[in-house]
Amino acid sequence: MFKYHKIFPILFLLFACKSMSNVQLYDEVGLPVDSYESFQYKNIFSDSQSTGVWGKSNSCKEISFDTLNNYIGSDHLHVAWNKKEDCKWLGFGFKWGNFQSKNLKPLINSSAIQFRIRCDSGEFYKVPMFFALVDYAEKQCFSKINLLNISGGIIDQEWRKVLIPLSTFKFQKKGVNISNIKELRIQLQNKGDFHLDDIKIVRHQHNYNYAEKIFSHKFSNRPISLGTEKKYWWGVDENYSSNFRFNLSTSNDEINKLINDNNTLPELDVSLSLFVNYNLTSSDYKWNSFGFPFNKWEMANLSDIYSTSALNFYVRGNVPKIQITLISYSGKKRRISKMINENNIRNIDEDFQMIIIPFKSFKDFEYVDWSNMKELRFKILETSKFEMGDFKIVEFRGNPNKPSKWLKL
Amino acid sequence: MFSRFFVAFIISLSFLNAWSQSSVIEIKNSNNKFQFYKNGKPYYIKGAGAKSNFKTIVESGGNSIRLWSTNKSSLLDSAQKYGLSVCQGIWIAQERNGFDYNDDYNVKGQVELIKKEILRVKDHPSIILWGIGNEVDLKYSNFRVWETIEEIAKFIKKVDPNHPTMTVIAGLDPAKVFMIKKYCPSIDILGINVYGAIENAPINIRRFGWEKPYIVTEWGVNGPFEAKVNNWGAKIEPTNGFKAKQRLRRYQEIIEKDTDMCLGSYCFLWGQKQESTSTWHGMYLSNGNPTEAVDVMHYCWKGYWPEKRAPSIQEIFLNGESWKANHEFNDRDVIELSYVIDKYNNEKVYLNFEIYPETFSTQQGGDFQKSPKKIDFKIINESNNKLVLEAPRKNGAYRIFVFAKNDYNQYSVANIPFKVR
Repeated sequence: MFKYHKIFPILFLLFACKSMSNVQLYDEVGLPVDSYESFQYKNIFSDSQSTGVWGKSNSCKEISFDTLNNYIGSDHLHVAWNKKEDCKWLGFGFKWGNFQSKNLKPLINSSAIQFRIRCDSGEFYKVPMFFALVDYAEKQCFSKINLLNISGGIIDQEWRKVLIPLSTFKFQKKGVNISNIKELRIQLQNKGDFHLDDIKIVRHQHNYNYAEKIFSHKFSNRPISLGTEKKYWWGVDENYSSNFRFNLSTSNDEINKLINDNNTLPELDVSLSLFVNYNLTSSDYKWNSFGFPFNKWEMANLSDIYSTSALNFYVRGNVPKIQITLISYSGKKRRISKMINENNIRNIDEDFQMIIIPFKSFKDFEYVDWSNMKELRFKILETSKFEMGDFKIVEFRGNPNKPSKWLKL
Repeated sequence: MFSRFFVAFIISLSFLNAWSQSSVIEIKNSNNKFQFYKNGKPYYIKGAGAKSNFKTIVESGGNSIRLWSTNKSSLLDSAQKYGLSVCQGIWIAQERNGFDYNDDYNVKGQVELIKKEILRVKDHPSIILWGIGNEVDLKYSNFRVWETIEEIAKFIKKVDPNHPTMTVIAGLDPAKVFMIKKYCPSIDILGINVYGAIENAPINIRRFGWEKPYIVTEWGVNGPFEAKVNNWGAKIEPTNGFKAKQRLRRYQEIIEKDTDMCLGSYCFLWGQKQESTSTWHGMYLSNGNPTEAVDVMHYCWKGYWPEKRAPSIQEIFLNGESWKANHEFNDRDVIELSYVIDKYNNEKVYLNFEIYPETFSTQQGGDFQKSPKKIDFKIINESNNKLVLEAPRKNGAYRIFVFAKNDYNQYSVANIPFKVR
C-alpha cells in the first residue's frame, strides 16, 4: 500500500506534465507570412493559352502571338505600333488572374514586374511603352522601363530581362487603390516593334533613394538681415558700370567715430552698403537696377510674417525716386512693386534716413505666393548720389500707408 | 583579288575619315570678348530652330540649326548634306511635366540613357555644340535638376572635349544665372530663349552676373505668353508685317550688336507649330509654305532681300477697327474684314480666309498643343482689300485668318479674334 502510495503521485505528475505540455499559455504567434509566396497571381503572361490579352490590332498597332523563338510557353507577344494622328488610345492589357482583385500592397516594396523583351533588329535602350496598374475604379498609375533595370543595358535580339519595381508606380499620387488591382495595361507611344514574354511578379529589392531636398526656408522671427553677402547680389559690377558699387566704409566722420574696426556703417550692423551714383543722362543710364534674394536664391517662406512685416533700410543722402519690386518663385502674380514715398521715410538726422515699407503697402500683395519668395529689386529712376544699406525685414504693425508715424526711434 | 582588297581598304579609309571629320570647336576669350572658332576659323552662328526646310536656311544665308533632342539622328545627316552645323540638343525631363528630381532611380536612369545617346552621336561631323536641356527651369521648384545638367556636361567634357556645352533657359533671371554658376561649372555657354525679353537681354546677361558667352537659342516675335489678351481672354497676335519689322530690328539692333558675349543665335521657328494659334511662332505655315519671316532672315543673314519676296499684311481690321480691339458680334451679323497689304515686287497677290474656334490653351514653354479644326462660314462679298462675311451662328470665341500669297507660294498671315454673343 505504501509502495503504491508513494509511486502514485510520481505517476500522476508524469501524466500531468505530459498533458500540460499541450496547454497554451499565450495566443499563438504564427510564423511571418511571406507576402510574395502567398500571392496567387504571380503569372501575368506566359503564353496565349494561359493568359488572355485584350486590345485588338488596328491600323495603328498589330498585336500577335508569335510561336517562333519563345522565351517560355507555346507562344509570345509580338507588338508593333506606329502612332499616327488618327490613332486613339494605343495599347493593350492582360486578363491577369482573370480580372480578379489583386492586393499588391504587401508586395509594393519587395516585388517587381519582370518580363523578357527582344526586337528583330537593331539595338534600343528606351522603349516608348508605359505600364499601367488599373484598379476597379479605372484609376491608373504608370511606370516605364528604366535603363538601370534592363539586363545588359540594351534591348537587342536576345531575350533581355526587364524589371519594373512596383514601388515605381506612383499609386498614391494618382489615387489608385493598390489593394484592389484589376489589371495590367501597356500603353504605347510613338512607334516600336518588340517581342514580349514571361511577364510575372518577382521578388525584387528596389535600392534607390527618394531623397527630398528642401530648397526653402521658413522665416518666423524678425529682424531678418538681407543682402549681407555680395555673392548673392546682382547689378553691381564696375566692369560695366560704376553706377553702383559696394562700400565697405563710410565717409561720415560722425559715424566713423562710432564704428568698429570692420568699417561697418554703425546702424547697419553689416559691413556692406551700396554707393549709388546714378546719372539719367549718362551712357549707362540703363544700368539702373540691382537686387538680392530673400534666401540665397532659394525659396523664402514668409507666409507667417509678411502681413506684420516691413522692408527696412537706411539711406545716407537724399532719397531719390526708387521703385522696389518683390518677386516670388510661384503664383499667379509673381511681382509686386512700390515707389518709395515720403510716408516711407523717417529722417534720423539731416543726411540720414530710415526707410520703412510695409509689405501690405505693395499693390496686390495679397495675390503673391509669400511662401515662395525669391528676391527684392531696386530701380533708381532719377539722377542721384546716395548710400544705402542695412536691409532688413522688421516687424511692423502700424498703418501700412503711414509707416513712419508708427516708428519709434 | 587585289582590287577587291583595294576597294575594301579605300572604303575603310573613307569611313575613318568620316569619323575624323568631327569638328573642333574652341571658344577664345580676349579681354572678355568671346569668339567661337570652328576648325580654327572664327564662326558666327546664324542659326534656326529647325527640323525641316534646311535648303532654305542655306539659301537665306544661315549656317546652323538647333535640334532639341537626339531622337531623330537622320536630321544630323540632312544638316550635313546641306553644310549646316548643328547645336545638338539633349532632352532633359522637365519638372513641370511630372519628372521628380528627388527620385534617384529616375534621375540616374535618365543620366545613363543620355550618356548612351551622347556616345552614339558625338562624332557626327555636323555637331558644333551641345544644348543640355531646354527650359528645365520653367515653373520649376527643385533645383536638383542642375545637378543632372552638370553631370551630363561633365560627361561631355570627358568623352567629347571638342564640342562646348550649353544649357538653355527660359528667359533670363538672376536666380537661374546664380544656380547655373553654382551647380554647373562644366557649362561653357548659356543659351537663352528670349522673346519679348530679348530687348534687355544683353544688359541683363551682364548685370545678372553671367561671365561666359551666350547664344540666343530661341528668339523671334513676342510669345503668346507675353501677349495682351482681349475681354474674353483671347491672345492678340500681331500681323506678319508687324512681326517682320520686329524680327529685323531685334536681329540688327540687339543680337548682332553684342559682339563681345553673344556667339550667335537660332531664330524660332523654322517650321510650323500650334502655339495659341497656328501662325504665332512658325516661319512656315501648316501647308509647308514659307511666310515673310523667312525673307526677313534672308535679309538679316545676307544683308539684302531675296529676289522673290512674300507679300506682307501690315494691318487687318474688322468693321474698321484694328486687330488690337475687342470685336464682338451677334450671330449672323454682317462683318466687314479689311486689310492693308504691301505687295512688294509681286504682280499678283492671292487671298484666302479661314475661321477657327479659339483654343485658349494653357500649355507652357512650347509644350504640345492641339490644332483646332477650321469652320465653314458664309462669304457675302469679296472685293479689293475687303471681305464681307456673316458671323458664325454658334455663340463662342473665334479667330479669322487672312492668308496672302504670291505666285511662288510665299505667304503673309494675319488674324483677329472675335466673339459671337
